[in-house]
Amino acid sequence: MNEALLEVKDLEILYKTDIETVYAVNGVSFSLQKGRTLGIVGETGAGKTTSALAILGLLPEKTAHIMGGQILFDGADILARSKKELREIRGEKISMIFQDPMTALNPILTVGSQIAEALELHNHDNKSREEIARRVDETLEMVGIPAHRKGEYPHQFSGGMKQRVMIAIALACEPELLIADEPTTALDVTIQAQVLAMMWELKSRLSTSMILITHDLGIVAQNCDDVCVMYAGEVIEQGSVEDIFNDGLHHPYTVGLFGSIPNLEEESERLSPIEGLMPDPTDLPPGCKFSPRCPRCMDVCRAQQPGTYTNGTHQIKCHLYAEPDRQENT
Amino acid sequence: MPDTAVADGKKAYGAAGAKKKYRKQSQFKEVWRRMKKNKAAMIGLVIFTVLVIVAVFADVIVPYDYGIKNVAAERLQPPSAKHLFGTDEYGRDCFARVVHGSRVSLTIGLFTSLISLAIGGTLGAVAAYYGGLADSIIMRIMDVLTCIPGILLSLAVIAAFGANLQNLLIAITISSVPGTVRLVRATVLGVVGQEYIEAAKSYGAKDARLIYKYIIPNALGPIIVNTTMSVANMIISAAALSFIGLGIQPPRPEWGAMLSNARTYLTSSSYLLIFPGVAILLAALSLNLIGDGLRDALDPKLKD
Repeated sequence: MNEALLEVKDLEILYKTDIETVYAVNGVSFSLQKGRTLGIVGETGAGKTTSALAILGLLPEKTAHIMGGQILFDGADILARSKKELREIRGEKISMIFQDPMTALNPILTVGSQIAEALELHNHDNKSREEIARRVDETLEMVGIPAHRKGEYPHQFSGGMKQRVMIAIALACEPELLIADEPTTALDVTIQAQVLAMMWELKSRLSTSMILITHDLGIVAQNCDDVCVMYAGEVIEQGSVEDIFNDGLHHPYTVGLFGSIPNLEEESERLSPIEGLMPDPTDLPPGCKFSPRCPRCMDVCRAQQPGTYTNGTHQIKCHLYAEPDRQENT
Repeated sequence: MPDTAVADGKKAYGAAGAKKKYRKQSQFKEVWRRMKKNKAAMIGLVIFTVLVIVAVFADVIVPYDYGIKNVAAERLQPPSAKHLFGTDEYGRDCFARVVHGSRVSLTIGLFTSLISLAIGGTLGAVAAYYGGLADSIIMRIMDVLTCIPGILLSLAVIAAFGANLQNLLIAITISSVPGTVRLVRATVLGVVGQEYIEAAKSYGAKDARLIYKYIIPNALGPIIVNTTMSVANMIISAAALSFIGLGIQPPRPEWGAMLSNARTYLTSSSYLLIFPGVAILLAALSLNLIGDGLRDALDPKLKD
């Protein structure tokens, strides 16, 4: 196996306000090998974005508290870095594509200067203005925008074009890790396909590793090597794409997720959504977090947190698959 | 280290000359080009330029003496060829007083507005950007200042330090700072919450860059409008203080003070009120027009 570029271990994050405490991420672990793509799937509020922001050290300082765990990037713990060191990592080693390109670009700077910004900030080899300008042109062409449009402002671009600009900014410094937080949610389907295809191509060309946060299983199947399924701040199932899409055994939540998307081959009148809602993150159930909605819930699920069932690269956190001799009381 | 690298890059670029048209150099031109299209703003600019020229060349236009010399024989004369704006109750030439008054009034208006913007803007931006303790401390001090009526605060400052132009400027500035802090803080809070700020952080932008390239330019609209409007308010505040004898000391001419004095002769010699009033109006109006135009010109979304 390759060397792990990023390793998240037992990450725990909570948001604390005067009124309540939100348990956003509860012991998440995953790792990402160099050059591979990790998909993180889950419902809104499952802790996907919080985990991603933690990797960049961008959690809101006043409310977010990291209670435990490690984030190892290239072997060094990101959580132990100073603000200055983090700033140097951001944009250069790790960068992020945000969900909504409409609001993630500064409306009063031209797109060219926004791309140049990341380059100027991480200008270690004293590139001159011309070199930076040339690099801006290259980056824009790379994402399929004619270079002469660099003098235009974000509002003169369409949504898909803006997302391309975001991608250009994120890739300008050729980072080792790209975090894409629902990069296509705000775009319509045809543009989604274009943008994804382009991201895929650039990723392979620049051999960037990528974390793709999404709730679209179709995107995961097409683009990812590994998959984490998150629910209520936990990774409840993870493995390679084949494990998740082809293997027989699954967490009941994953089964539910697949039941919620239309299938071309089987004919059914209606989709079967998962009953109920995500548990309130301020008041999580004591046992398995999915137990209140689980169709196969057992008594032990309500009382005890499930251990992890492992089959090769495939890991499932569920009591159903716990072998009696391996059962842990974690 | 990256900072010096960037600076070196800039130097190298400067040495190489402006071969390629780069955004930073064209920004001012761009704003100016858009501003030129705005007729109202250009009218404002013309009026304001005239006022400034009058203030600068006041001595050439009419000697200062005419405005302060008491001529008993020519008291309260209506406008005529000899006295364009008439004379006041001491027989002083009102035209000379308005012309020379522009020096004091414009200085007060512009200077206090700019200082108030600099202090209030910085405090407001710090309060909004850093939040927490800094926010609490700054805003509570501002609360205390707002509790005291502005005029009383100015009075206290002048009473304590004596009546001269410098103290007058300080007094008026202090009483206007809390308002500016509030406005800037509210505007900046709105901008800080935007996703592009987080995006900029995600590619490694430092605090200073965020504040100067992202937050201030995006928060500029309301702040510019407020500042240009406050110029007129500042002139009036100074006038109020002059009126109770704590501002500009007579016989030195000042628009606000002239307005206050003219009040007594409102029915008999209304021209005494009209000319300084129009002068204040023109100053305020021209600055408001410029401010509006500037705001529009700075917003790329309104570009046609």
